[in-house]
Order: sequence, then C-alpha cells, then structure tokens
Amino acid sequence: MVKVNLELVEIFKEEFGAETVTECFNCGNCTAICPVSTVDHLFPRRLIRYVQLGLEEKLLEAPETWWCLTCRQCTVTCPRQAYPTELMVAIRKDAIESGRAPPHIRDFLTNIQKQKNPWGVGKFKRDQWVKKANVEVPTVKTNQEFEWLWFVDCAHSFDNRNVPVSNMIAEILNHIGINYAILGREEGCCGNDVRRAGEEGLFQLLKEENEKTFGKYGVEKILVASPHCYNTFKNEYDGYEVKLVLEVILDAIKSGKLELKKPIEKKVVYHDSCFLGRYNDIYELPREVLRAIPGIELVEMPRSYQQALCCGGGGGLVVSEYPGEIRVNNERAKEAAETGADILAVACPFCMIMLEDGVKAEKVDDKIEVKDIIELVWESAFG
Amino acid sequence: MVNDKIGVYVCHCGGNISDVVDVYKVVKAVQNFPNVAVAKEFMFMCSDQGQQMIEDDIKELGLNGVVVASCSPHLHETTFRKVLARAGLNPFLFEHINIREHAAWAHKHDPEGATEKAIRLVRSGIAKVSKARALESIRIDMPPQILIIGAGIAGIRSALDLAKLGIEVHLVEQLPFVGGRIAQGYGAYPSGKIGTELIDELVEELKKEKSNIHLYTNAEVVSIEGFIGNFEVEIQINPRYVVKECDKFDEAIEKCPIEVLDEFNYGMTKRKAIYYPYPNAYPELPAIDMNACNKCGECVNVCGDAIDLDQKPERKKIKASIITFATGFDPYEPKEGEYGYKQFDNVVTLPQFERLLALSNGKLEYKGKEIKDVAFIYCVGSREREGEHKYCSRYCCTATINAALAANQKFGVRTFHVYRDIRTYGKYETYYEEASKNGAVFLKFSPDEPPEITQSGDKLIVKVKDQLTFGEEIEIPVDMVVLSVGMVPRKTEVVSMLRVPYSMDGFLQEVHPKLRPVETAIGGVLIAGACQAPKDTVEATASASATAAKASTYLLRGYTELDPFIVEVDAEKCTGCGDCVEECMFGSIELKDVNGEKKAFVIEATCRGCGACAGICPEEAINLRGYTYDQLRAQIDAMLEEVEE
Ligand SMILES: Cc1cc2nc3c(=O)[nH]c(=O)nc-3n(C[C@H](O)[C@H](O)[C@H](O)COP(=O)(O)OP(=O)(O)OC[C@H]3O[C@@H](n4cnc5c(N)ncnc54)[C@H](O)[C@@H]3O)c2cc1C
Ligand code: SF4
Ligand code: SF4
Ligand code: SF4
Ligand code: SF4
Repeated sequence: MVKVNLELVEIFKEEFGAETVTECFNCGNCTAICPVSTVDHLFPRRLIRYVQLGLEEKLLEAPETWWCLTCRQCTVTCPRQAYPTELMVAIRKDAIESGRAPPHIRDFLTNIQKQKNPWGVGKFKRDQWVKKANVEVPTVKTNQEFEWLWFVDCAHSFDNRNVPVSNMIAEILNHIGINYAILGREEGCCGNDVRRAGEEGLFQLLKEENEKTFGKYGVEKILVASPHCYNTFKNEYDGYEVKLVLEVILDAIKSGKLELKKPIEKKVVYHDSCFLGRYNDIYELPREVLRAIPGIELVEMPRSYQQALCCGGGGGLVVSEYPGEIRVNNERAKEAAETGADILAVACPFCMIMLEDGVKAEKVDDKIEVKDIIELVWESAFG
Repeated sequence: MVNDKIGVYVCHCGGNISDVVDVYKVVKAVQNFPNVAVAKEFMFMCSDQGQQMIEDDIKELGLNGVVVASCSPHLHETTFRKVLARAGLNPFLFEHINIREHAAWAHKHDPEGATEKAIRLVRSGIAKVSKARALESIRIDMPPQILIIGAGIAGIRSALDLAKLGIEVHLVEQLPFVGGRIAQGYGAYPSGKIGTELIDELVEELKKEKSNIHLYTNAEVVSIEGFIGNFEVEIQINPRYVVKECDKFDEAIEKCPIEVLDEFNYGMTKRKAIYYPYPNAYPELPAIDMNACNKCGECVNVCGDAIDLDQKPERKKIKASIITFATGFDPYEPKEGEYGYKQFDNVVTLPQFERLLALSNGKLEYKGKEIKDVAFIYCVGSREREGEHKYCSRYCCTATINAALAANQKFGVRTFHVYRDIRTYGKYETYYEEASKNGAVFLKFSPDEPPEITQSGDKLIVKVKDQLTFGEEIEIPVDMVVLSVGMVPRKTEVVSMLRVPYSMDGFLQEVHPKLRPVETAIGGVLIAGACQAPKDTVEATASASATAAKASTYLLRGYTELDPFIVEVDAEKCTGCGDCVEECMFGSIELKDVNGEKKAFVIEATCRGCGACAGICPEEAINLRGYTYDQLRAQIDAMLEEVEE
C-alpha cells in the first residue's frame, strides 16, 4: 500500500523541471519505443507514473532511473508532449539531490567537476593534442582577432580515437581560411551530459565558468564538432551564434573553397546522432556532406532519421559500464553491418567511441569500419 | 374473385440469377400455370426497358395481376408497385418473389435444385396474386396540434421549433417550473454556460411564442385516448396557490415560517413553503408547496389576493394529432453504503456536487468543512455487470471532468479521478486533456476490484488497485468523494397509458435507431431527449428538434397515409370471444355491441398489421389484408405442386 503525495509532484514540477508530467495519460508509447525497455520493466512509463502520484519510495526502489540514454526517442513519440526524456532527467535530479547517484555516475560527475572532462585526465593536458599536431592551431592568445571560437570539446581533446579527427578539422579550417582560435587549457566542459545525468547544480557552475571565459576573450561565435556541445550552447546558453564544423565544411564545398577530389569507392551508412537529429532536427546536413564526396554510395539503416537508434553514449554513459540489460551500441553496430556497408559514418565523437566498441563486441570489425564524416572529407580533399 | 390475367416476369439480374437458375425453364414451368396470361424473362427487369415492358403488357393484355421474380423486395418492391400504378392497375395486385438471394445465391452449387426452388416460389407468388384484392392506403387527417409532455430542455426546444411553424403546442410540465435537470447543473459542457442560463435563453423565446404555445406547469396527464391524428388528452392542472403578479413576493417568501429541504439543491439547503427553486425561475410566479404549507396566511397578509390558498385543481381536455414524450431521466440514486454513500458525510453524488459548486462562494465548503481534495468515482450505477444498468450513461465522464475543472479553477480544489474507462468522446477529449494538464490525477480500476472508501480522522480514504500503476494498491486521502452517477429511466405513468415500448434498459424505445430514430412503435408518438436513452443536452436538443421536424411533416401536410396491411374482421364469423382484444399489444381491437351481440372492431389508425389477432382468432374471423388465409393457403398449395422434369 502506498499513499499518493501531490506535494512531491509539486516539487518535481517546480524544482526539477517536470512540468509536463501531468500531461502523460499512460498510453505506454514511450515504453514501446524505448530501446532499453524490457518486458519486466515497462520503462519509462512506470517511473513517470510514480512521479504523477508522488510515490517516492517506489522511485527510490527503481533501478531504471539510470538506464535512460536521454536519446529522446520517447519524447518524439509521445502523443501528449509529456517529454518523457526530460521527466527521466527530473527523476535523476531528485536522486542526485538526495544523494542517491550510483558509483558510475558519481565518478563521471567528480571527473568533470575536478578535471573538466569525463575521463578524469588532468585538465592541464587538454591542449596536448595541439602540441603533437602537425598543423598550426591558432589560440585565443596567438590570434586575438579571431572571429570563431572553435570549442574543441572533451572527446576531441582527450580521446585517442577522436584526437586525429581534431587534427583534420584544424587542417580543413586552415585550408578554407576560417578566422578561428581555440581556448587551449582554459577550455572547460560544456555540461550537456552533466545536465542529462541530473546534476543541474554542476551544469550551472560549468555554464557560468564557460561564459566567464568566453566573456574574457570576447567570444560571440562558437564553432563545435560535437553535437552534445552544439545542443547545449545553442539551446541552453544565451546569446552565442553556434555553428557545426560540418556546416562550415558544406558551405566550403558549395563555394568551391574545399574541393573533394579523391573518390572514395565505398558503401557508407550514416548513424544519426541523437543530439543532431531528435534534439536539433538536423538530419540532412551530414548526409549532404557524405553525398558530396565522390564515389560514396550512401545507404540507410532500417532505423534512421527520427527513428534512429541511439549509440548509448548520452548522459554520462560514454565513460561508464551500462547498468541496464540492453546494449544499444552493440545492436546498432549489428544493424549497420547488416546493411552491407563498408563504413559506418558518424558525426559525433561519442557515437564514434560507442559504436567502435559495438563493432568489436559484435565481431563485425572485419566487415565495417567506424569513421567520422570529417575523416572521409579529409581523405577526399587531402588524402 | 380471382385475378385470372397475371403477368409473370423473371429477371436474369445480369447473370446474378441466370448463372445459376435456368430462367428459361422457370418461364416455361409457369407459363401454363393457372391464371397466367403471359410469362417472360429479361436481363434487367428494373431497367427502364424492363419496367416499360411490364407497363405495356398491363395495358395491352389487360393484366389484373403481376409477379416479378428477381432480387429482394427491399430493393425493388416499390419500383414495381409504381409500374402497376402508372399502368392504371392497383399497386397491391403485385407480388415480389426473391429468386436471387433465396435461390441463385443460396444454392450456387446446385443449379438444378435452385431452379426447382425458383419455380416453386414463383408459382406460390402467382397463386397469392390470383387471390389478391385491390387495397387503398389509409388516409388520416392531422390537424396542426401537438402535445409535448415534459418542459425540460428537450420539451421546450421541440415546442419552440413547432410553434415557429404556426403549430399549436400544448406543453405539459409536472413541476411548478420549467427547465428540467440541466437547470440544476453548474457550468454545462460544451459552452460552460450555467444550466439556468441555458434555460433562460429558451424561456425568452418561449415568451415570444405565447400565441402558439400553451404551457401548463404543475400539470399532469390524467388520460389519453385515441390515436394518431386524433388523440384526446385530459390533463389536471394542480394549484400553484399563487394566482397573479404581486411585487412583494420576496417579502412574502421571507415571512413564510415554514422551512423544508430544498429538492432543487438535492436537500443540501432549505427553502420556504412558498418558493422559487432559483432566482430567475419560470414562470415568474412563485409556487406554494402544499405538502409543507400550514396555511398560516403570512404570505396572504403580504400579497393579498395574489395568493389563493384554496385554489382547486382544474381539469382540461386537449386535442392533439401527435404526442411527444420529453419526460427526461433521473440521476441514479446509489444504494446505502455503495461507495460509502449515506454512510460517510462527505460522500455525495455528482448532481449534488454541481449544486454545491453553484451555491459556494470564495471557498468550497460542505457541512462546515473546507474541501480541498476531491476524489470522483466513475460509472456509479452505469455499466453494471449484473443489474439493470448495463449501459454507459454517456454524459458522466465529460460532466465529471467538466465539474472537476470548474472546482479547480474556482476553488483551487485538487481532483483525483478513479475511473474504469474515460469516455470523453468526440470533441470532449479536450476536457480530458485540459484536466491532465491542470494536474488532475487519473487512476483506473477494474470492475472486479472496485475502490473502497473508509474514514480516517477527518479524511476519507479511497483505496484503489490502480491499473495504471501496475496493480499497485494506492491510498488517496481526500475531503470529499463524489459519485459520478449515471442516468436511469424515469418511471412515469403516462408512458403506460399509450403502451410506448421500453428497450431492455428501461428507456423509451425508437422504431429503428438509425432509420427512424425519434418515432415509437405507437403511431403518432415521438420521443425527444433523455427519456429515450442517456443523452447530454447537445444530443437531447438535437433529438428534440428532430421530433419537431418529424411532427411537422405530418402536421403541415394535414394528413398522413398508412400502409393498407392491417387486419379486418368478418363480423359474420366473429363470436365476440375477445381473445383478439387481449392479444393485441397496441390496443387496436375493441369489442362493440352490435344489435345486442358483441363484435370485434379494428381501430385502423393504430393497427400495426402484426397479425397477432388473426393468429389467435379461433374462428378465422380476422384476416390480415394482403396476407389473407385464402392467399396463404393457395400459396402453400402452389408451392407443393410437383415440378415436372
Ligand atoms: C449532474 C449532471 C450534470 C450534467 N451536466 C451536463 C453538461 O455539463 N452538459 C450537458 O450537455 N448535459 C449535462 N447533463 C445532462 C442534461 O442534464 C440532460 O441532457 C438534460 O437534462 C436532458 O434534458 P431532457 O429535457 O431530455 O430531460 P430533463 O432535463 O430530465 O427534463 C424532463 C422534464 O420533464 C418533466 N416530466 C417528466 N415526467 C413528466 C410527466 N409525466 N409529466 C409532465 N412532465 C414530466 C420533468 O419534470 C422535467 O422538467 C448533466 C446531467 C447531470 C445529472
Ligand atoms: S530517452 Fe531514450 S532511453 Fe531514455 S526513456 Fe526515452 S527512449 Fe528510453
Ligand atoms: S510519456 Fe507520453 S508516451 Fe509515455 S506513457 Fe505518457 S503519454 Fe504515453
Ligand atoms: S460516461 Fe463515463 S462515467 Fe459515465 S457510464 Fe460511461 S464510462 Fe462510466
Ligand atoms: S378473436 Fe375472433 S371471434 Fe373472438 S372477438 Fe376477436 S375476432 Fe371475434
């Protein structure tokens, strides 16, 4: 026997941003579409229902709080605009507020708090990749008259698989002639996934810090390669013009500043990033860039565009052991391989990490290779 | 008399028939049958050419009977009757034989059998027509007068529509004031208008139509006799005891020393013996409730001869061509202890809750206690698995949510909805959506495990196994429980005076829900509003206007024609036993004295032609026109006659 508690519902609505929870009419569409829901768990509807009635003890018992990938498939499917993804985030806020974050999330958050990156690598190492790079990368100090701040992001600064992509971005930007600079060691974490993990306080702190640094250098326009940074800068920070590296590339291809000469005779399948697609409605940009590369045959997975399966890297999960039962990155790798494509093209550094793991776990790495679209562009332009 | 020149027409139906039935063989097998003058087959008998062929034959060969063997009579019986009429032959000297559905389609895999069956059917048709008699439709005069019983929203709507066409309307209401149930509601969906305001609007129109509408309040129907076109009704107008205008009624009401429970507010408040149910009630004169009044004369002291405490009931005779029932419904009265009703103070019904909303200002209070949290239990007295009320009452889901929204907006009340299924059908889905948005909490129970109400301190506790929370047992502490009661049929005697049939659930029944939705099986008796089935005002007024339209089709033309297929009595054979009188469920046969002997007489206007009396009569004194004993016997004989190979 549990007692209804509408006071808690009010707290959820006012403090944790769950204003839409009463929109939900328990249809279960979210559960049907959620890629990590299982028959025994009826996730996420069950948790939403607990919030509607203010059943805190039930919420405390539920392990699924930390399953959500924040992929937003449920949110785009919900017939009542109840924003189930955002409700999952609200539930995490409650859990974090009451000190109930599980160890993997605690680690993720501590790493970011201390070192400003999910891996917990020393923050002073953020610009090490630049030193090793064989291209010139201007900084806010060396190019004070920069127009665009290239916010490199954590993955492109620290992760071994993504750092080479950073090199290529720099080379491409230089070639096109963009007037840009990076922050170097002063760059922090954008906070997108901190927020999705439910640590609103830390997110606000990171945002303040970043805005302070931006202010110091007079930043007005931000260039990013990661859809996660893109999302939060564009929608959750105020007053910046935000652009994707892929947009710059496409413009340059169209204006002739970047010529894609070398054909890549490969079958390529594109994996939609949640933060480009469902969060920002960007579906065609990456595909257009791929189509512009000579030789490429672009194919689609059965689940694509708005119905695309998540890579599993959102909300801090990119650095954690996943607590749920279903590994979406493995499933996605299998789905990609089944299309017969040679290359699985991604537009996000987290998708890169997750899907490379998936391809290996499913033992399809001899059939299909995960590549960033930028790598393909670089190869065609300079390779 | 025998019709001895019969034309027989066998149709191919473009192969539908002729692919199975050998139509040539049928023609051959009947052309020498007794009384047949001509037999033909044709590709499409219903085509212009087919019709013309029959018409020409009738004229040229002087046919005195026609049989068409083709599709179902539902499709083309009328078509061919008209052919006969065009050719100058009585249209009832016709028989339509269905050899498509009954032979070709039913016996696709047995063409020979199908052909034999077709032959037998056609022969039986010939035999029947040979004994047919020319019949005339029955014509009944319809003077433009109508009686409408019940002045709720439906009765008034129907009365207005008819009055505007210049038809004389007698509108009889049993209560001292008009308006019916909706006047007791709070803000009514879909417009949100207060119920009394809706009635006010109609009353304003009513005042303009005084010349055509005779309104009798406090009146009851004492007897009804007659039939369509000629109903004779006696009504009794019970005294109001307030006989004319006076500008000091308010003072008189104040002076009246008697206080009784106010039924308009479902007993939640008190009123005086001289009273208005609500401020703007119509007619404007207050009424005196003689069950409560002790004749102390206080009011008379104030209003003088405007009040007559010795007023007597008055009887009046009314003539009407048509009668419309608009007698409405009753809200279901829960049994004692049903969801804590009459067991705990703060368990009320939805109608009571709506009155409470209407009467409250500032905060919602009941019996001195502020109400902040309210739980609504749905489907009380509706959708019963066992019991009489198996139907869904239609209005309650939307009305409940509508009332909950009002309670929330006006008094900040938080609402819990303990329901079985939410049926805010059609446009009313938006009410449900709005309630969800406003934070109303919905919990779903299974009829196998209905919620339980208990008391704990000054709270009521609703315990429900919530299907939306995966069968979890959930406790909701609230200040008030509201039972969303259904609509139940109102028992009134007038209905039995006319033997208007009920449906299984006790509401008055239409002839056909789709094709004849406002007529009853009793000729000239129509039904409007919630007396027919649970209806909200939207549906009640729509059906009311439909009855007005239906009635006007008779009343504006001034007469109606009825099918001639009714019974007739052979006075020679009738012994006056009276069995038929008892058998007839429409009261259409009566015994009359003829030279000292009792004889049965048919009331032609109300006979439905069911033939029940003909079946029961031991003397075969009653025949159903168009289906006489002679005809049926001849048919059977013809059908049994051998068919040669
Ligand atoms: C709590 C509640 C809330 C509702 N809310 C809404 C709403 O928000 N919106 C909506 O559209 N509908 C609502 N309804 C439904 C609405 O009340 C009905 O649709 C409407 O009252 C039907 O009108 P009616 O004229 O058919 O019947 P009634 O209103 O029942 O009127 C019948 C009239 O006939 C009289 N009468 C009965 N028998 C006799 C007799 N033998 N002789 C003379 N007179 C007789 C009665 O006294 C009465 O005046 C609600 C109903 C309830 C119970
Ligand atoms: S955001 Fe994705 S993972 Fe989270 S509940 Fe919705 S569908 Fe499931
Ligand atoms: S959140 Fe949306 S999709 Fe999920 S149950 Fe509620 S209404 Fe349905
Ligand atoms: S309208 Fe709703 S409350 Fe009323 S009987 Fe039907 S389902 Fe039950
Ligand atoms: S049942 Fe026949 S015999 Fe008897 S009264 Fe009626 S018509 Fe006459």
